[in-house]
Amino acid sequence: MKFRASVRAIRHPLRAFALGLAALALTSQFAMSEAVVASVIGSVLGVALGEWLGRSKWRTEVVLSAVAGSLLLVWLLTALLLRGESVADALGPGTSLRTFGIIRYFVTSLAVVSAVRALVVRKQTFIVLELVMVVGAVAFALAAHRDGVIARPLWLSDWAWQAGLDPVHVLLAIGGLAIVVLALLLLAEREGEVSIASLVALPVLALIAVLIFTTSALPQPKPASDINLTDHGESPQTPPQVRDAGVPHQPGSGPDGGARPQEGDGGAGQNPDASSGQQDPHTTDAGIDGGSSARDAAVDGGGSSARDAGTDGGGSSGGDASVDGGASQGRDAATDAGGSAGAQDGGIDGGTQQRPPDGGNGSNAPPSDGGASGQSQRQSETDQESQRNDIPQPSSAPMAVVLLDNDYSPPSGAYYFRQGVWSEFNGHRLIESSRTDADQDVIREYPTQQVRVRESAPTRGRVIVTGRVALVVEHNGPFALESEESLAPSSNPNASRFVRAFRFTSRSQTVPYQQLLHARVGNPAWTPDVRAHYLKGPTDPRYAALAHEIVNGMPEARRADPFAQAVAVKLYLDHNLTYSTRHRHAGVDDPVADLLFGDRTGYCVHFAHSAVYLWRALGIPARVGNGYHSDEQNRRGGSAILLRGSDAHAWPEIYVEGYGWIVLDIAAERNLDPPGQPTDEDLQRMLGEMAREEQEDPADPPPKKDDSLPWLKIFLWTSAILLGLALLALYFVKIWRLVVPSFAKQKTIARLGYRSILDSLSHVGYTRDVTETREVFAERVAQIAPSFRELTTRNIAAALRASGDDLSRPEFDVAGTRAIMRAVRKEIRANTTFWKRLLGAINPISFFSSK
Amino acid sequence: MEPDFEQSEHVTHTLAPPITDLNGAFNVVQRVRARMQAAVRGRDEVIETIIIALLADGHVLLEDYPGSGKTTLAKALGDCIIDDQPHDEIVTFRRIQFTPDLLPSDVTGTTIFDPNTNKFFFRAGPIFAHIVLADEINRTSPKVQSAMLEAMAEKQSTVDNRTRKLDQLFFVIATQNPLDLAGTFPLPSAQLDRFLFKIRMKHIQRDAELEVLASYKTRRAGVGNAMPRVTRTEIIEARNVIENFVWVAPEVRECLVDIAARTRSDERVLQGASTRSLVLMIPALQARALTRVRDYVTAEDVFELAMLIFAHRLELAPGIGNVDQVIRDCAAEPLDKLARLTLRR
Repeated sequence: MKFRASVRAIRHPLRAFALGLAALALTSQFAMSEAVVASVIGSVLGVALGEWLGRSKWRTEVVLSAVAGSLLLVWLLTALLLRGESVADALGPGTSLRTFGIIRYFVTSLAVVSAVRALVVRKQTFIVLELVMVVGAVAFALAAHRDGVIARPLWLSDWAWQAGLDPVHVLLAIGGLAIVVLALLLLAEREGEVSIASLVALPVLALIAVLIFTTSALPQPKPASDINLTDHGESPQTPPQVRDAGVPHQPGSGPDGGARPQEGDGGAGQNPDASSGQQDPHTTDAGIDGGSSARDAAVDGGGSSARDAGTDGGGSSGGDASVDGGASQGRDAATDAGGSAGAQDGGIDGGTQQRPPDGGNGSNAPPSDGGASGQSQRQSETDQESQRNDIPQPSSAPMAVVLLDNDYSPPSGAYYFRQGVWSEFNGHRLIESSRTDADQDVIREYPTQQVRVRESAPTRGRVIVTGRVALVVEHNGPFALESEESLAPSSNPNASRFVRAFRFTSRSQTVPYQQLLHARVGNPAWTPDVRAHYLKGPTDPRYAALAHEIVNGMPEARRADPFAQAVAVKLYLDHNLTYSTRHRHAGVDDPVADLLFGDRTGYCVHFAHSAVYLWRALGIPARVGNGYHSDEQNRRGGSAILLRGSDAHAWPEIYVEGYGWIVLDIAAERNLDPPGQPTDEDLQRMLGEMAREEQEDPADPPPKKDDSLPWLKIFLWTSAILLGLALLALYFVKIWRLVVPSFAKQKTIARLGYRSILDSLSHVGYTRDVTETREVFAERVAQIAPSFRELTTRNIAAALRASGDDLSRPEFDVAGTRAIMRAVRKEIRANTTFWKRLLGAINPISFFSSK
Repeated sequence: MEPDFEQSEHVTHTLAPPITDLNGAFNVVQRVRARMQAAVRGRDEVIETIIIALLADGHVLLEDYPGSGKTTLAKALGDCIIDDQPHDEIVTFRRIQFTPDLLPSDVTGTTIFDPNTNKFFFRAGPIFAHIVLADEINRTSPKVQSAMLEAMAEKQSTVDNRTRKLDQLFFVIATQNPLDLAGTFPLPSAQLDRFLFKIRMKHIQRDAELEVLASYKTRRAGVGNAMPRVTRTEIIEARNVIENFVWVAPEVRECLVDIAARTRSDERVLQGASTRSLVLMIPALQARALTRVRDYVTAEDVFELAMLIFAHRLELAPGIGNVDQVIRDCAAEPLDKLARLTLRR
């Protein structure tokens, strides 16, 4: 008793605390920090407001509609103000958006919490709503923790790792704490005896909530940031990209935007990384022959990527700092670190890796700081690196699903999905070109309408392939099978699973590599500037020396053939490089040189850069492409290709006259990384199916109808239509019975009017029992509608009285009967709750119980 | 029968106009009801039932414990009625206390030799009255009971082979004690059938009982005596009016037949409701409708009266104790059908 009393004493603070936490858990997933604070405050105040409202003398409906009305009003008002320009002018667009956002979060949580609280005060049963709110918020916050993914709510597991705790224990503790708090709340609420059953119900409730959330969450791991192709990493910088590490070059179009440095800078920063190690394991196919799966495996060795990222980050920053010494680089470094390292590495340090995108604010911030001070960054990176090595992290998280419309088989044996290219040498590495006349064959923005590349690939040796990409995770830009021709928007086939989708049309290579021998390289249409752009490499003479040494080792007949030279370089690299994601070549000025003339161990970004530098030294126009790489055999005959985080890749390309950019990937023969996980076929199939379930969009070709189940379809449709018709008919009857007294004549008014009122009584749960006579029923109803007695009398009289022509009798009094009906309805309204009436009115078969 | 206006005036100080419509009949009901309610507290339901029986020309059997007001009730009823034909030998109210040694002639009357005229003349027994209270009717011998039986069924009495008519207003209120059955002669079912209603009186409510105690003195002093009464003729006329002007819909008759049929087919019942009970029920329904200010019979009337009418007529199978439940079950569906009728036409 004492315990209960003390719990009761603190029940209001306890509830405010629980609901505030719930608001925090809910909003922190998507709202800005100020908004989170606002909604927490809102819900705490909402408890007080709801308590007050609940004890006020207004009727519950009034309270609820007032709350809902105010909420709506605020939303409308803010929307109106936002639309107008005066406020934006006064505060600036950013500030005004933020301010209104805060207001909205505040008001919404205030309204919801106070409405529920008021309901609970009025009727204890509604405490279920409150509990559901708290349980749902907790379940939502931990929703990512599913299928045993203990690292999933990254913000949580990061912290846990850092603090040296097992996230599982942390999760269990949170769950247990939530249940205890809820139990206390429930306990405090009951004034009388607490039923044990209600306490038992709590875990059940929690379980149900978790199960419900689970169904909608499926196996959609947040992309570990591995793939920098995604938003996280945002900075598209190259190197990282490879595996998580640095990501994509693309400028920070990403949300973090701010955090990222300008692209250029970013690029620079990354380049160094790239240079440090460019080895691409992956590329298997690179080999003319076609890749070997083994290499892929290496690639997959996702873990490596994360580590790379770290390395890259380090490398880049270092490099940048030294070279540019520019502020911009500092930033880049920061970016890299932030984008890639920050996100991922940070994770690594902590023990986990990257955070989900939302982390936006958080994750970006740290990197920036890092950027500010180059040194510190480096250091941290180093640390990270060392730590990383301990942490294997193959990221097989699904990133996207590609559905090919055509049965296309690439000569290289692997599909290359190009997201961006790096062709501009900034002194340390290759970055995305800032020229307007180079690399015009890539589309960098998501299409909002059909978009064509400015410079499409030649038609020779290529075939049109169309397809559709559904992104599981937000990316920095679209990617498509090389070489993309045009992109078009597409409706999202399954919004709960995919973040967006688009269609692509590509001209993909069909010409075998052997046929390219003797072809000339470079595009005659290029201006000398552009040609020089594609040939510019490091000034380090060792590159040219190595390149010529390789060429000199070729048979004489082939020495003059540029494509043969390129292949020779590729084969040399294949043979002499070792794939390892642990060797990041960070912190050196030219990571590529460090690799090529050092331990010859690195990963795809390093490999790609090595090849490009060597080719350029030989006068062969080349660049690095980045995106995803997937072995053809991963398709397993299906049209769906599942791209995973570990499929992120960078590869070297050369321009062959008449054929355009040809991917000539490096496939290192030795691999130090553990093999990656094989593609999860079930997942691939499932996501493929989901991506396929699309509504028609005009851009899509008409889908072939699946005729296999017409009967089932017909049956379902027929049932649905019949059901709909039946429902319509029922409502028609219902409404007819309601309004027909308005047309009734003297002889029928008593019957029809009575029947109509009977229906109204059915709505609120008053129906005559078969053992009741009408009079007894009328007595019962008289509790809420005394006028019903008179109506009953008239009805019975009309039926059982001796038939006569005396139309002055009351049962033939149309106006009087209608007046009584009005009175009865008024009495019903006054004595029943709105919800009861509404539910009754919605019920299509309520009149069946009128008798 | 033509009312004797002169006599009525003499007794009631008013010239009672003949009753020709339901308003007049209802006025009779009101007067009887008011007087009886003034005399007996807490028995409104029973009073209502007795009035219905009176107007339906039936007899009632009150079953209750001693001291619960049976006699008071009967006397109050007798007190309501004015004999407007004082010249005949029939009086307003008689009470017969049945005992095992009672003889039929004690009930019916007997012929006596008059030495002055050298003739036998008939000395009327207590049944020659408008209202007869047959107290503890189950305590007398079957011979006496059968004398009562004839009187109740035929409204006539045969003494010395001469049959004499009883008055048209001949209303028996019999009582019996449900317990204390030692030395009694339970009424045979044929005689039970003569009673329109068997009324099981319940103990009155606490408030009413308190009021009984409080008003005991004033009531004994005859506070209700100043209230208007009714004449015998008015009751006869009211009966005629009710019979002619209260409408019994064909569906109501169907309902009665259906209920009776169900009691006969119900396996809990050995002997179901008789046709006579249905015939008797019609005027009772009409009378009840009148007391509820209606000129038509409804399912409500059937529902309320079914228990009173059928309870003592059904012979239940061994082991079945609750006759009310049986009747309710049998009546539910026909009544529901009757109720639904009002939504259909």
